[in-house]
Amino acid sequence: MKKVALVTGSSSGLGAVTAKMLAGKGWNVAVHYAKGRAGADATAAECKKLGAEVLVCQGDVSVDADCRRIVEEAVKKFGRLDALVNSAGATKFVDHTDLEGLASDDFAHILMVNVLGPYQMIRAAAPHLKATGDASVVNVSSISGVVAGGSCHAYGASKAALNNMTKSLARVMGPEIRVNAVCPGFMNTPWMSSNLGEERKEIYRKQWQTQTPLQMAAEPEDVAEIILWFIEAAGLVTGQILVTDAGYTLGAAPNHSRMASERRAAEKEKAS
Amino acid sequence: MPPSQRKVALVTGSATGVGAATCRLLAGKGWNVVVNYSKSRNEAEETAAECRKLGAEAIVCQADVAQDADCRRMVDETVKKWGRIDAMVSSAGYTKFVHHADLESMTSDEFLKTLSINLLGPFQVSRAAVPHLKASGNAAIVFVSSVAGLNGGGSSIAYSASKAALNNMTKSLARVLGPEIRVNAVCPAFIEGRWLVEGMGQERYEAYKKNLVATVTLRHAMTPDDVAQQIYWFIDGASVVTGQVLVTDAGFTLGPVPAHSAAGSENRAERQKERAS
Repeated sequence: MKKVALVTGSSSGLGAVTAKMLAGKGWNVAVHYAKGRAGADATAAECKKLGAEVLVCQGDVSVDADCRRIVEEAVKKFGRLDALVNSAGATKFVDHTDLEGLASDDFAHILMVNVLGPYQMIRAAAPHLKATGDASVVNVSSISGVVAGGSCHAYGASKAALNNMTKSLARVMGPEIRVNAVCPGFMNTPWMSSNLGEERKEIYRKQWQTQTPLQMAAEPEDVAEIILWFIEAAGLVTGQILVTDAGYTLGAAPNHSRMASERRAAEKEKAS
Repeated sequence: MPPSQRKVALVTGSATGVGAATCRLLAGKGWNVVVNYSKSRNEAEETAAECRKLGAEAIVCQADVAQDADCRRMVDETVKKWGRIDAMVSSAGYTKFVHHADLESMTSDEFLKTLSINLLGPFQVSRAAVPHLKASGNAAIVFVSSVAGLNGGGSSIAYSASKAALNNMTKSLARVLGPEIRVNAVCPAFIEGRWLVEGMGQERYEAYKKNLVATVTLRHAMTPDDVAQQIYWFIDGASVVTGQVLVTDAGFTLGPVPAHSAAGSENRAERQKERAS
């Protein structure tokens, strides 16, 4: 009997890629969307091509009744649930200096989707995940939650809260369920294109390709592989927040250390 | 001679424990391995023999990672044999079990010895191996660190500090060794095996393990093979991950569920019961 994963926000981007990757590895998948119906259907079609049975569920993860219904639909269809990937997220791109630009309603909405949403999904899914005995929850967080950056104050704060909750939930969900989070940075996704515009996204992508330690701008596949690892292989790992950012948050090597080395080399040359 | 078709890993401290398990895992996955030891010659030969049974070529190399000349010789021997290095796993480590409160028993010599092996050692092996790892183009360094470096715990104050420093160095090396080399660390907690049996004594070891399995989040006492799996993933799978310190401890450092949250729930249940009756 195939294992079953529920991936929220899998109509596009990282969620969609994760659903497809799971399908390719022999999982059945519940594809979830809030508004992107066409995208969800496309994800589902590709998962089917890869041999998976698929269910498409609509719902708003900030609404508890929706979360409970989504889980029920999945369990009704597949009879089990082995993994939950919380990939649904919300944000609004607002300059951090523009406090008035971030309305309280927007702030609350971002928190509801990004923090309350995963909580409600986990709460609804927990009994079924526990029943499998070796289940996994992966929260899609962000480096914004680590470095207080990202698209707006509320987004960074919501991801920091999600990282914290990953730990407090991990404690009480074990030993049957491991709970972990990935923190990607830039990913080449439609989400980035639509929020930044294609041109700015490309500029940003080039920056990551030239300025991060791994000189790499991640595709969603790169991060989906890490989510799969948390689900399928990381038997020892729970409550952990893995930064998956090609080294971006390490920043540049300290400039003054480089300058001192250069100066010493110059002095040596002069002396010889 | 052309370089080996198989990838090559140099694993320090691989006579026993996590290092040995990592060698066996790599051997089974198509790698050639350098088995390094400082004193446990027989065990290193056994590890190498097991790797050969799994289809790998293996060499055994004595070296004290605290000695730079040893590190450079070990790397030279590796490259002479196979013409390449694709991964370096730093598993060699040292500690002396000293109660943290007993400052006088942690002599300065002991402290320095701990730092020399656990921190300078990984630096020196990395420094010697870097040109060859860079040449491989998609290489990995994995440091075996410890949760002691995060929570100030572990077998001695010096050990704890050495692992915290190693976690830090994981980041500073990762910055400058990319894009060709990813540098990451694993932080296990209790691992079954000789290291802790010898350090704690058999009886205490058993008692500690029993308590751990009963209380830790995942109800699991780690084996060297468990840790080797995580190391292997950093080598073979984690292409966007560098400079990261991954806690691989079955939930040990999460600690217990907050007692007052449980007490609050119980209190509410009691009050509800009272109201109902």
